[in-house]
Amino acid sequence: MTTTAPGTALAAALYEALSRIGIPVHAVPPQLSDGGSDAAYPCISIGEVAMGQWDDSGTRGFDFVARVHVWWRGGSKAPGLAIQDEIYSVLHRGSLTVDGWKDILLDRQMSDVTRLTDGSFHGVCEYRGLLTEG
Amino acid sequence: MKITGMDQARAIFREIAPREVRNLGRATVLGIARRLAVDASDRAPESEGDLKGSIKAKRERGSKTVLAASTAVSRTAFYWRYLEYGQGPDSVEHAFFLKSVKAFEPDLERVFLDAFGDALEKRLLRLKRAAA
Repeated sequence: MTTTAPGTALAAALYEALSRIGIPVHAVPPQLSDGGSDAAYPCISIGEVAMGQWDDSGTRGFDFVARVHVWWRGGSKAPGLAIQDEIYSVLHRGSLTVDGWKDILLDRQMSDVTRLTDGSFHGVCEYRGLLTEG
Repeated sequence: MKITGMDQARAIFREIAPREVRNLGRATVLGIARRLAVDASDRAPESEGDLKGSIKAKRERGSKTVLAASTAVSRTAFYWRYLEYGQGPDSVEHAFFLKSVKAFEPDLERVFLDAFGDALEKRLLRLKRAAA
């Protein structure tokens, strides 16, 4: 029986899946000491993963939403949208290898893009998943 | 008033007039949205201007078959989304709405029953005052 929540294993599974896209994946994009970004663009970061209990009488489970961020620079939204498409093809209805857990659902819920004041772009996608022990 | 289960809630709905059901249902849905607003407000960053006080619940029009209410941020705190997604000056993804929604989902039946109990209690009190 699994004794801990799958937070670390889930982050590792997301990292492994997103790394297949071929651009850098971070937990938090690296920063310079003055607070500016030192990340190589474009890049992906795994953001907040919010977990809710999804137990039944005999088995533990988690219902989670994971945010995946995309950061890029350039003159248009197009490069980031293309990366969000690649994330979609990897994660939506895809499968994660979460140590000690079975994934039984992974679905895109939303995507959004915002232009930031430093001229870069920030894309956010939310993916919802269900995990059960096993 | 404490409602202990969905069966009790259904029985109360069955026994009262349709007009009361609709009023109670609307008040219950608004009560759920208010609870979510309070929770999101508690989780929102302290130091960010008007944000905490700007997260509010409001009645929505709905339809004949749908009762609706929303939890939203008023225009004075338009910057909420930058803080929610980590685009603010602190670059921190506060995710206060995401965390609130995920905290509510597994507990939604209890939240519904609490909100329904409150709505019923207020309605009965009002009827009692009107009859007095």
